[in-house]
Amino acid sequence: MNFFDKLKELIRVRDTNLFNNIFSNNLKIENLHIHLDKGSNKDFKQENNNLIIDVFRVPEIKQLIREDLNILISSDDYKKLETIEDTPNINKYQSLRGIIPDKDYDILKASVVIREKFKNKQDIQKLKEELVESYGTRARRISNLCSAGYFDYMIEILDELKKDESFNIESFRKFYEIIIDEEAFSVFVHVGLNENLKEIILNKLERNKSYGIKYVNIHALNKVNVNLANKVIREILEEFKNIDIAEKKDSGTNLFVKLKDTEA
Amino acid sequence: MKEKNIITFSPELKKEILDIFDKTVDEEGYIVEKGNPSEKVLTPDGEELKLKNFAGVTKGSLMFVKSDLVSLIKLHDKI
Repeated sequence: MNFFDKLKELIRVRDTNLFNNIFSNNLKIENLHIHLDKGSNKDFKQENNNLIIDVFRVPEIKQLIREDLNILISSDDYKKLETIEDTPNINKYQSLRGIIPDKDYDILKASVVIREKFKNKQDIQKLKEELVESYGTRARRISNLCSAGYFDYMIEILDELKKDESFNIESFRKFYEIIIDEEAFSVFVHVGLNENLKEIILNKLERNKSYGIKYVNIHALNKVNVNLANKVIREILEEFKNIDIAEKKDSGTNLFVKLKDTEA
Repeated sequence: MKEKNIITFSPELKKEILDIFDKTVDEEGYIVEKGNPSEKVLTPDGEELKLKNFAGVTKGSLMFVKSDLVSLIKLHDKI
């Protein structure tokens, strides 16, 4: 007897009317899945909710839920579970598991979900904010780097390094930490940087030079951010004759520019 | 996931769901034991959990799950 058969039986034995109310009228059961918020009419929905909450208070049913039910979850968060289930390539970076910090790997998987939602033109703002709220600015960096495809390069580099017998995880970790700390020597443009963007790009270029890197990569997603980035890049090019564009891809909503210091 | 024994509830029922499991919410919004409000409920990662971040419960020793993506991916991997 599965969970829902047991649940039905416990309710039927307790109260036939309640059983009929729940399973004949108010609650739709689909393949072992119950939604407590079915029903478009508000009063109907409230009545339905009250009924099921009362049922859950019955000691035997409470026990059954504790022992046999996999998840009791809010419908909003269930939608997130469905999104996770539907995300292709969620384990794409599995080769990094155990090599990068566990927490980073968890954040990276979440970043893949966010990236796929963005690709499907779905709103990612709230998910990204929640991620940063829970795991800090490092989560924002990992998510940005994931969206820009840097982790694809990272697993390619790792695969190459692993072919060498002298491969050392520690040296890869040091490389990884620099990439995360320095956001892959990149600036990810968002409107919050508006007033300071020029200074941030120039400072990043100077900082990159201390690693022997003579360029700064600039990424911007969404039209507003792309326009802002293009405007500031133009200002930099006019003001600094030693800085030039080494590479540029601009789709209008997705910009990548590699700015190079030609004198360095 | 349809075959995996899941019940979903409306987000506005979070407090009622917690009440079923003898939990309540303190003045700062944290989920606490009804019988001992100084004892905060912890997530599987040992974090204190606010009502606004509460996703649901999962079996085992009745674990309370946070609603951010990382926590939900771990839950998804488990079920």
